[in-house]
Amino acid sequence: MIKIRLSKIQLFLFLFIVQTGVVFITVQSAIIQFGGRDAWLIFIGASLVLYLQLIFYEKNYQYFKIGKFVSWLYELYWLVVNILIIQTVTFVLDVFAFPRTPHIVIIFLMVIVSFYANVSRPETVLNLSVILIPMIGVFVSFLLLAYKDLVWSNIFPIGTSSLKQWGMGLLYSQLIFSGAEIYLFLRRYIHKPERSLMKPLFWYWLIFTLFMTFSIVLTLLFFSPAGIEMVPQSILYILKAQQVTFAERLDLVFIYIWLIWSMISFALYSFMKLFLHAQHHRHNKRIVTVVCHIILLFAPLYFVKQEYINMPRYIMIPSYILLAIIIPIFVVLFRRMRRTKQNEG
Amino acid sequence: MISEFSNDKLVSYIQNNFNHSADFTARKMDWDTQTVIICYYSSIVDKAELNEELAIIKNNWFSGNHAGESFTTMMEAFRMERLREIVSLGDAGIIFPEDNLLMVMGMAKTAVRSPSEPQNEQVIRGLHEGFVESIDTNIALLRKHYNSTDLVFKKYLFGEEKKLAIALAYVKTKAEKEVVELVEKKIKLIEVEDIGSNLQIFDYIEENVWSPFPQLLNTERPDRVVANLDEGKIAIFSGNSPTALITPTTFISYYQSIDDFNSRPLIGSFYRMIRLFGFFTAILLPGFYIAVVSYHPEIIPIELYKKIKQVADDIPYRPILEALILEVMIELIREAGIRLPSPIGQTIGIVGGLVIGDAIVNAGLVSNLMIIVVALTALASFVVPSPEMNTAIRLLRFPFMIAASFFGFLGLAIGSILLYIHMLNLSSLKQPYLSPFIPFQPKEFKKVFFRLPYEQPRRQTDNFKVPSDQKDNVK
Repeated sequence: MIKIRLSKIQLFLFLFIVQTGVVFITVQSAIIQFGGRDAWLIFIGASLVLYLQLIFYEKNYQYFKIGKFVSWLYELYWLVVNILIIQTVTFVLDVFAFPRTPHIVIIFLMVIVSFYANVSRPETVLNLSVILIPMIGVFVSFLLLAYKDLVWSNIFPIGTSSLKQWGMGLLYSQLIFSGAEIYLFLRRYIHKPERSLMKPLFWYWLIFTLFMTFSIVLTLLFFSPAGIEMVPQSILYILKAQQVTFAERLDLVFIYIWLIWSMISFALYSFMKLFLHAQHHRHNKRIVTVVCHIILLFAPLYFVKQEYINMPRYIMIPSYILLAIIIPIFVVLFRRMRRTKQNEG
Repeated sequence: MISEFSNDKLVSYIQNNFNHSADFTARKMDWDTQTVIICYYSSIVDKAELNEELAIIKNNWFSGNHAGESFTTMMEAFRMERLREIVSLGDAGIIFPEDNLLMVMGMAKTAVRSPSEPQNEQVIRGLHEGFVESIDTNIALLRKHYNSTDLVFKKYLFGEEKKLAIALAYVKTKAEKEVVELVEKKIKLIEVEDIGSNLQIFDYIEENVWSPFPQLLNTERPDRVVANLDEGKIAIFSGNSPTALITPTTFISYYQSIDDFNSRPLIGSFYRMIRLFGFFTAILLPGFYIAVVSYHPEIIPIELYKKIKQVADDIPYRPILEALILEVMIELIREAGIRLPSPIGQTIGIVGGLVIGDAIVNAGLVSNLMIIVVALTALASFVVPSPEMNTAIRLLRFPFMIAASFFGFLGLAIGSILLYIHMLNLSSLKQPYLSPFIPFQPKEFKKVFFRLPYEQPRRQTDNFKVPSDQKDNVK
């Protein structure tokens, strides 16, 4: 059993890093590619659904009690998310920095960070995200340097995307929301859990939505809609195009900031997996941590191949819909009905 | 019972117990109707005071006060262990064989230097006095600067043979009771026979001995101790050490200097931020240079890259080896500078820094750019006002250099996260090491970067209005 207690700031920062981690430089192209010129509006629409989902979590988290089988599903899901994070990071480093370094070395370095964090105190993992606050600020500031190259007409006129594009855009927007389900698991461990978090929840959702909408709008304004297909990591290309006097390749600096961001998000997912495991099993924590990280060291090696480059999209979206929307609704309704019956009885 | 011994045999027995040390004195003395034996180490007893005190006690004794006690003496039952203890601490003992009594006389006098400013913690503005090699003098110095009854000292004496005195100082109204109890508990675990120098107490009190980061702040400045006591911290004095250990501490404690508080807020804030910047420079700069030259030359502007390339091409070694040569040289110069007397130490610094530095570049062993990087790194590490933190960050740059030589920026990124996780794991007596950053304390956070004014008047005094009681006089 891992005992934790966290503040609401820690909870929301945890969620923010988990949700934005690896997707911040990779997801904009996919949404724009499938959503068209209205991708940013589509994302805002999808984000409204996320807000409703978070409200649902806040109102019902105490009913979300799962058994061993469902907990295995979540553990498996987070394990897969971690494998996909490693796969994405390895691809990006392959392209931008280390084309000849063996993948096992890169993966080992990522896994060792998560391992060290997870054999430390739980407070250490919960506070890991704090280091990213200034880094994200720097990241966003340098993205703003692109203002001279933005073509404002790229996002107008609005309303040009077809119904199918709206559907696909909404679907692909779910890639960004992965990790939201963690709210259900951590909510009860915050200080004074009986206090409602509706107000901070709204601010969290607003900041998160603005942050991601900013990245989508920026990509739309910078690239022509036709050219976006050729640029899988659009944010990095925007940074690469910036001319500053002190550095020739700004993107290289930011790729490592993003790497730290992704590694911390990776460690947080590992923590969630180990945390949930400890809730339902009495295995030795160290052994479980070692086994989990050995899996994470070798399993991604199989998937770091060109043919699996789009795998995250195909796996993440259905898994997210199942585990962050369908199962929570089902579990909450089931528990509520059972409670009503017990009360009547 | 010592009364069974003849006086000569008793003296011989006592001498045996003190191993016939040359500075030990056990002398028979006539005292009224009996013979007493006075024992002391002549090297650490104030003989003039002893004579005066003896005269007073004898006077008391013969005027009817049988015990002959005064403010500096105490009568107790004789025990050989007790005699050894008091004499080794510098007191004198008078044995009354017939009554089986021991009179303890506080006469200790050891050579103590004057409380001059510590050489390793100099400040521009502030007290120019420091602790000395006497626990009692240090306590007196602290009392002088913190004259309140809330300042409490607790003294412990450890060891069977080798005595070590440890004193805790804290302000009762400010220090947390649990923390004081925790320190006391840890101090009681000290096995004195193990301690060679009193700074080795670190190992007993720190929670993570293998960390390069210090978790106890040591200082020789009374004003620094007073400032920390005011924040509810605890100071530990030990043996004959001029150093006070302060606990619990945070990472930021090591970057605060008395100069910050004694200078103007803007100036104090600026230099504090410079010091914090120095932390990152000292750890990351050599690694960053190695990563740029070895892996990511495209990151720097093309004009600078051309120069670096031109210089680097003339050097036969890889950048990591180049950096290691220079870093080891800097460490050698520093170590030689400390060990040698100060005038020669300064010469060594100049010879090492200028002559060898210039020669090594001319010989083509290292590039002049690397000299700049290593010199900047050394400067950045020396701005820390704590020698312990200084050595910690000097040590830490080596793993970062090695990581950068293997993986470039990736190595630096991984190294930075591992270091960050390590610092998150650290605590000093349950106080998180990275506080007030983590856990975040907004009120304390701004104090990390800014030396805020002690008193900020809310309203400026109005000089231009006529005071109300003088209004009538103004026409």
